[in-house]
Amino acid sequence: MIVPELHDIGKLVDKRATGIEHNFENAPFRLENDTWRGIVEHHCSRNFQKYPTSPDTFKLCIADDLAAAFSRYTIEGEDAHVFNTHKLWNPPSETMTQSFIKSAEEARELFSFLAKNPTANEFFEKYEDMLRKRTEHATRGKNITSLYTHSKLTGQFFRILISDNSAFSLKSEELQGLNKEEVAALINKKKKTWNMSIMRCKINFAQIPVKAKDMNVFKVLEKLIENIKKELPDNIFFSTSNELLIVTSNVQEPLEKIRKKIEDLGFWMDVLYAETQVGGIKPQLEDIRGKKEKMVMYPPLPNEISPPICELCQISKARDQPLVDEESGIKEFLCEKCWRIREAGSGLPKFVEWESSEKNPKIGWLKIWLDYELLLKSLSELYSRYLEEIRESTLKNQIEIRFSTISEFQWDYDKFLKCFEESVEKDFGSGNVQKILPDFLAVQIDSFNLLKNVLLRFNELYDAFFPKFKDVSSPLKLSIVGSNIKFPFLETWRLLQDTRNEINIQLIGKGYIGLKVKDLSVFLKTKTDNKALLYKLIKLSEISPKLAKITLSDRSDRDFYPYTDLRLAVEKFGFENILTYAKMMGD
Amino acid sequence: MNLLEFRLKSEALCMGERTKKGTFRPTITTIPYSQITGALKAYFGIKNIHAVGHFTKIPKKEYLTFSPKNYVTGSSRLPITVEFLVDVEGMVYILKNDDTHDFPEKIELSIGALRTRGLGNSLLTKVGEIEIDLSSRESRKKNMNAGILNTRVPLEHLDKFAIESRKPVYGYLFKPTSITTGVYVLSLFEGSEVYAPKVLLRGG
Repeated sequence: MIVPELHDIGKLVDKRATGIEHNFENAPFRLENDTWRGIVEHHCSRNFQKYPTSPDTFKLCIADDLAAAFSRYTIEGEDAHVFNTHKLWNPPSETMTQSFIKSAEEARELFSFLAKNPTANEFFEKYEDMLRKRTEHATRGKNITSLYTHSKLTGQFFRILISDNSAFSLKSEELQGLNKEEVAALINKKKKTWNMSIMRCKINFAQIPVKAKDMNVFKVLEKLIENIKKELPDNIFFSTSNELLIVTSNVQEPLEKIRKKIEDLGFWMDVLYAETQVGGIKPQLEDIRGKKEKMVMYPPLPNEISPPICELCQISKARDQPLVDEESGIKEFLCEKCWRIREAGSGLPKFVEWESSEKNPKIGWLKIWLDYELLLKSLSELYSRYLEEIRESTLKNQIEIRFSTISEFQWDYDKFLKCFEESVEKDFGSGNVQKILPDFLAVQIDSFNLLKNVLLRFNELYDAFFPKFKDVSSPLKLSIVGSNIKFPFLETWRLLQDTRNEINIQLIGKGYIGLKVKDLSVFLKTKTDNKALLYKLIKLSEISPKLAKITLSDRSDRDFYPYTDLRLAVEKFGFENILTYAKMMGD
Repeated sequence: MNLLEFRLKSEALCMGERTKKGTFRPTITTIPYSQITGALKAYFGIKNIHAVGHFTKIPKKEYLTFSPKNYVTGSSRLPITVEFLVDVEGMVYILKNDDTHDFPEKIELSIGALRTRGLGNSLLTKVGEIEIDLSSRESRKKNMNAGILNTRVPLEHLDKFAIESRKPVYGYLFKPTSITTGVYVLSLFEGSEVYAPKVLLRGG
């Protein structure tokens, strides 16, 4: 059985230094196993002598193509070789001009490793560093994904292609006696006749958490996503805390699996699905030419429900017996599913502790959102800019982003979320931070001015991970809600979902701040140290926000000159933003 | 199909959702079929009324905390916090039929919750009449569009407003069956993708 992830292992060897082709067709060593056959036969082009001669290497060749970050726009010539990955959102500062293995002796070590018939995991474990640095395609303009991502995706596509012999039918006889050109023609033919499906599922919950225990619904969602990922390891090409991008030979099977799971939980799901020829499969579902459908999948909903209706999800009949809170005596009517969630005990222990504390602490709710469509658009824009920069000319057509680029982004996105969580924990202490989802945290704070630290950390990490997104529209959005712990969570959740700006800060009772990520560092330098002036401004705004705004520009006001910094900040960021920031810092 | 178009103004309005946690009653930010139709039916005392609506600007929210009194025991219950909207402006569309065609130009009525505490006093002022002609492609193009629904309508009344569901967001609205009883009926909520009269769409 071919281990498809190893097909490009030869790219770790520098061809110019060793003379060895990356498919090892001219290597001074040879092995007799399936993976070796895969390595040697995974190309079918004029650049290589060997070509696919069996159904599995034939499918590996197609999988390799689907997992590539191909662009027609490349730079030719000697200086066009670049071996490190140019992440569009975070390009490297240095250029790597050679691959890692530069001598035949070192290449032998690689051969010895291959001779042990390693698994994909062993391969990634041993060579992860090299694979992450080395680009899949060492040509300027094509070097936008790592060999690591490309190898992983090739494995996924390969297993999809071999898992369904009726959708991707190919008999050994079809390849018998064909020369390279004929095999290439057959590959093209199969890419047009075989069909693949892609679907984007957005999982939503109907439950509106009102108690700390109801927040379990987020943990249930997290487990559900993990569970689906485990069940469909080869089909998921991108995911967030509630979205999945799934590639499959037949949409019905995975869809039915997910539908059953969400139905059991009382969740519902938005599905966008497209089916097209293998050669036309791409992450831009909306642009796919072929069969397309939008669906919404709910648990069975009766036309009428006689009271009581479930107070949490409001789409199911509640049990006749209410749930009675022992302390307050409050009765709540819940359906079986929501009852189960409530009774599961809290998956968020710190939050329960804060809620029951007599301190009535303030909470900063921090949610990071990722806009998938905007991600594709921004990546496409950054790719165009990269190509224009190296070609020194403007491109006529929009560049399409392929699966490998979004998967490459996924690594960094997940790492960014992890680092964000760690830095917030470092700033506030782990006892004061409750992780709700990987992209959703709650922080116990004494005053709202501490939220400035969150913004600083977010900005630092954004600069470290995605600096180039500051030049285009940011697909990452940050929502912060500052409130008292008793403030109803359902309202907090509504506010968190308001992502009209890239940075959205809602301070209950104080106001709203809406910013672009690129303006964040300048905004945070706004001087708010003159408390007396700010106090005056806030008090004026309580009478009339317009009066407060006018006062800033009133030359006869004795504080006209001391207001200069604030006035300039207001001109740049707007009065509401500055006023709310002043209130936040004055808290 | 003709819709009578009214402008709605209210100083304070609580289009209450069902109470949460026994102590918090949030408000919704659209005008559902059940609320406005119920209010109009109560005002005019006629049954054949079908109306929907939405707000034209994002209303500001405020909160009122009070302790409802149990009149039997004379004791106060746990305090309840009610969310309500202030300086509300919206549009209401009433289906024109034999019972509604001669509705007055101005209607003063109470909508929503907490009317005994002064909330919900609203003024509807007639703006005009919208003819939704579905007979030809040209006329459909003029008044109809695909977009995001801006109100809540029971499924059983979708055809009355020429709404076709494309990608639904479902929920339940209360439907009284007598003075003291009622059922919840499956309804299309705001945020649904639909093909509908432009006036019922977000941004329409």
